[in-house]
Amino acid sequence: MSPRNTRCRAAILAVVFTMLAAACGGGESVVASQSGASGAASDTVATTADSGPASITLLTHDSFALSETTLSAFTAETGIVVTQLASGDAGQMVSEAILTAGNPVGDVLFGIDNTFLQRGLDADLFVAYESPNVAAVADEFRLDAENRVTPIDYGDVCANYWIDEFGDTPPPSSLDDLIDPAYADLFVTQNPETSSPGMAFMLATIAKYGEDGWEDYWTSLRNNGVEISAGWEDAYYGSFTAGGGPRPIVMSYASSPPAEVLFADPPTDTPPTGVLLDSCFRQIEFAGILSGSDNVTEAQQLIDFMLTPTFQEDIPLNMFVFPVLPDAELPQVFVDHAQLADNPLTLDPASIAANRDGWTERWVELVLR
Amino acid sequence: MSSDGLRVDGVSVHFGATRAVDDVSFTVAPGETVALLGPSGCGKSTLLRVVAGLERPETGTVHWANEDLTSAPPERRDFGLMFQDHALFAHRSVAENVAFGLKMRGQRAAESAKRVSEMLDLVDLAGFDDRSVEALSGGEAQRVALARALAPSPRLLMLDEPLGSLDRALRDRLATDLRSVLAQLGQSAIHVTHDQDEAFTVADRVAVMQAGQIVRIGTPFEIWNDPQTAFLATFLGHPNIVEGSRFGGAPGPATLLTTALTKAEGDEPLRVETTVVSQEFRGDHFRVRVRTADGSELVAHSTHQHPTGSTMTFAIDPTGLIPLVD
Amino acid sequence: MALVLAVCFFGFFFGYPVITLVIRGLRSIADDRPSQVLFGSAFLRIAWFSLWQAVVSTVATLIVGLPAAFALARFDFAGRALFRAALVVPFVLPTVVVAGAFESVFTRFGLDSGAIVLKDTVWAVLLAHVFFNYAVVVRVVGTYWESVDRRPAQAARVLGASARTAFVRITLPQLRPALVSAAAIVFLFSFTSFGVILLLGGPGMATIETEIWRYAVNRIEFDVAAAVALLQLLAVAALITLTSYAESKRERARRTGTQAKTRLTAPRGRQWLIIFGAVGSATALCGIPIFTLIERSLLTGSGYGFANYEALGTQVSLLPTSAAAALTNSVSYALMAAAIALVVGGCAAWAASQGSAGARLVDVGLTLPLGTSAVTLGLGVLIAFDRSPIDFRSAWWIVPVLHALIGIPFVLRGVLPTLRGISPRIREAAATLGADPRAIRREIDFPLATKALLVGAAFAFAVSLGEFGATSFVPRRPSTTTAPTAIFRLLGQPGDQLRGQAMALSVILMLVTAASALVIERFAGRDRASGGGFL
Repeated sequence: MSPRNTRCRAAILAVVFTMLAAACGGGESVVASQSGASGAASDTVATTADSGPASITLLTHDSFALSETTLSAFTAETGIVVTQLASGDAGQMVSEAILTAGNPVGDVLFGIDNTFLQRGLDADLFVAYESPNVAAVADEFRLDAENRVTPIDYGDVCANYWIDEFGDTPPPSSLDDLIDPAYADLFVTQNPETSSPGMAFMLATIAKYGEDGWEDYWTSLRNNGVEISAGWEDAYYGSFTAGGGPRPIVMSYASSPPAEVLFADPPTDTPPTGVLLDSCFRQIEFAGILSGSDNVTEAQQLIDFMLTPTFQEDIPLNMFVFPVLPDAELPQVFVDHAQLADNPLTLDPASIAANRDGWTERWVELVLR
Repeated sequence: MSSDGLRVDGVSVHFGATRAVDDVSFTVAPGETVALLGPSGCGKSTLLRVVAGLERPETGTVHWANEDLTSAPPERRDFGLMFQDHALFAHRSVAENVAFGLKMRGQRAAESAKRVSEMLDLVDLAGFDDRSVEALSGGEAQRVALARALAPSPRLLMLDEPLGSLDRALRDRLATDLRSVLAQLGQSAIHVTHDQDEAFTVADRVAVMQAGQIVRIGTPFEIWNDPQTAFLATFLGHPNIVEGSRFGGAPGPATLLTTALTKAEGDEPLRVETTVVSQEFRGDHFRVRVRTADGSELVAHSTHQHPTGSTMTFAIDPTGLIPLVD
Repeated sequence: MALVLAVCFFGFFFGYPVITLVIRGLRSIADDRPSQVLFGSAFLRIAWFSLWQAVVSTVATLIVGLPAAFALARFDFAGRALFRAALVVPFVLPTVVVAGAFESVFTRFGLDSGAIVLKDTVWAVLLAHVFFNYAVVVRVVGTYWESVDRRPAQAARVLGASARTAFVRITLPQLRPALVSAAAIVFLFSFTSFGVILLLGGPGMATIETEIWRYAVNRIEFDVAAAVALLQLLAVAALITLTSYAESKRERARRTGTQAKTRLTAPRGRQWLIIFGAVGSATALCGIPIFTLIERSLLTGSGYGFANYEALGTQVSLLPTSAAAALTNSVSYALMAAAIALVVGGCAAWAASQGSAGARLVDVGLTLPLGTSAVTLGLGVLIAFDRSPIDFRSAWWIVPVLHALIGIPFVLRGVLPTLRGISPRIREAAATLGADPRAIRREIDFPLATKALLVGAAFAFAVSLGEFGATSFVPRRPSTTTAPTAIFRLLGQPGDQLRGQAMALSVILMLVTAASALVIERFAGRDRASGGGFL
């Protein structure tokens, strides 16, 4: 805070000085003031580089959450202070990271998933690091052989519905129901360009209806009054019943119902939401060290920490997805209410990488325009 | 040749094909006021700008005493210039306007304050110091401009149509004031005007310009009484250009002064019979247009009204018939 | 020297990025992807919509603004001066603040769901555009109208024309230069509108401007974005040519037209209806959103209070820094941007006023950012300064520099007419009194231009405070987060607390901007030469 203010003040002075010099029309004095300005700038570099305790910045998407004690445990253990910076939904976060590739805003990025992964790898966002803890993680999660990213959690992206909102009509039971006029104007999902659940759902429809059929499905979905939001947060807490919104069906996670039980007021044992298991797409989230980070050693320690039981066991009740570490213990409410689809929809990662841009572009045309 | 005061030698200025100033030479002695008189577009303002340093002449030189100023910038000449539109600095007060030249000469405000109030006294504007120049009347603005030009005691003061924008009565009064101020200060000055009354009132000598050249230079008395050319006679407002031999003079063109035409008493040797064509009332006299027997017209002044068509006989004073060169 | 400074700054920070963008656009336009996009039917529809909404915004603003222009031009009524001054405020308000205000109105009056839905519709966008540009029409047309010669219309009445015929046949044609000029400005602003479309148009709405952003930021397809930006540049350049043509006509009309200001009359009878209608509708249009915004900012979970304002000091994880710090950034950067714009614009204006060889070029060249959409500028900087040693994407100072570029035309267009209006006699008088060229600059040019410089700087300050389009391309860091980008982020999230913070931040930003608008009004006053050349 204060170094920046000093910097601003120095710059203002420099600029005002330049202005006065120019007003007086002195050629020499203008040159002098310009060198004064750059002098101020180099002072700044010196002040910012001067840091006390080691500190790193963790870039995340908006849905990132942990118990307060978890990161402080890390700080207590290593002396490293972690600053969190959320920058939109996963898609936006990856885009911003790519825009600053090589000169990143933070040191570690958490939350790039299998649908956006290839884009990040293509942009050389990450430096490779094979954490000793990753050996325990199942191979199905370790999508990058070079270890540029480390899997942290996974879950199924599925449509959720608010059970009580369906009194007489039965709740939807399949993707086809969502285009049934009986369920008109009830569904909210996310924009695949900016949101990872949105992307997952689009891929799910491609997996289910094929490259020939998915466009028709979306056209029908649009005709049936689907609402599109930019990210998961504004869909779930803005438009969905859970946040007081008008729409009882939302694209979320198979593991969202435990959250509803956990946060229910008054308390309850039965989740108020149900999951459309035939709509699920498997999502794996990764963390990686951003290339250009000045704090690689500290960043590696944070990656290691993310694969410890402390961090892994804190994931379910904060982000409502499953930890990748097989021996991480799941909380009871999760065991009771969180689901995983038996046969989630999947697409070949190579096919995703090759076609994603074309698909999203088509999607925007079909659904938004 | 060395001399004191201003010496302009063979100055020419061309704007494209037009010769605005064409090989002009003249001098201004210390303490002398010279009027540059001529119709608009005759080059008098351009000549003034050359003297001021605002215009660079193609040929010719401008000297003050023995100092060649031809290529000196205006701010180094120590000349003052008062513009027709006054060119007061709208963002400064009356006193600040007057003090400007002193400030440019490095005087501090405290030193210049005395001089400023002297100048304002001189032009009769004592106490106007803090007024905004935008709130001044035309006459007041003119006097502030004069005070501003005089304050640094320039070696030469130039006035470019200083009274041009004012009405007649104010003009006459200010011209007289101007003359006395210049005389009081012993100020060398060049006064540019298209108005002969003003020139005659203010100047010691008048230089008459026509088409970029000085066609005549002399005292007002000399010029009025001996205009020498038909152009000058007409320009000065002599209405009667006549053939001299018809009025008892030498053959060739001449101007017959209106004062030389008086009502005949009966015994004058030179008389002319005329018929009244028209007349205009001019306040202190009637300007009467009459026709002579050979059909040419004359203008005479009379204290009385004469019915159109009536006959008038004039006596002619031969000293009022002034021969002109062709 | 002044010229060199202005040209260097401008060439490097504006010319270089824009040329880079044009070259990249030209290169890529032949490639598959960009040409597919540009010539695809979806993009054609977007281009058509961009045009359509700008035309409708312009026509609507003209219709809504004309009665007020008439009232101001003809009548003297209580509160006239206040009304005139207050009009500047909506014009300089940040787009995100206006979007926030309209959203608060929709929520407050139930227009977000139910029988009448305005939220996420084109109507919301059109309303916001009218809100912004109302002042442009009223002041450009109204001021011109004041100096229009009334005698031809009166002559027509004497010759037997009805009041309506005289208005349509005589007065309207007389007003044409001002109408064309105002329409061109409104069209340009609506055509390049960005924050309003993103925030009020809903996810489905897209214009050429938002598409540039979407391709660059959401899709990381710089080639496509550059191609779209190139198209936008061309469209805007065509428009600017038209505008400057209309402007020059307006200037000519100003010079040749009767300058005698006709006296304002006291309204009577039905004329009161026009005044009440004009002032009333303007107050409703501008007042309701502003007051609702203030009301919402004070609304907390437990009644009214300042909790939302107090919360601004605490950082939420959505923002790289606290909202209060973003506000501090905004004000500091606005000061810097105004100072830079003052120096560069002032130098440029001075150089251009000297009538040197490059004067006309400077005049036109430095006005270009006015026509270059903010998004194009942001994209240009993003792709031009992306490699060391000139990797400025992440430097905090690129924010005030970008803002200054947008502010420079306001200074230039305000100061240049003033400097050109200084009679050469004044400078000559100073010279004969002993002032050398430097002293003339110091004693004459600078003091006489001070007022215009101040007004220009205040405009630059206000523009910087509200700048969103170009800033949205600068990667977010604690030091590059400005109040508008913070508001945008907060508004995009569900949750009353975040929205409340967004509203509180908007209110503070609005107050600071309004203060600078009042400075503009105070100094510009009725001096038509200044006021950013617009108002």
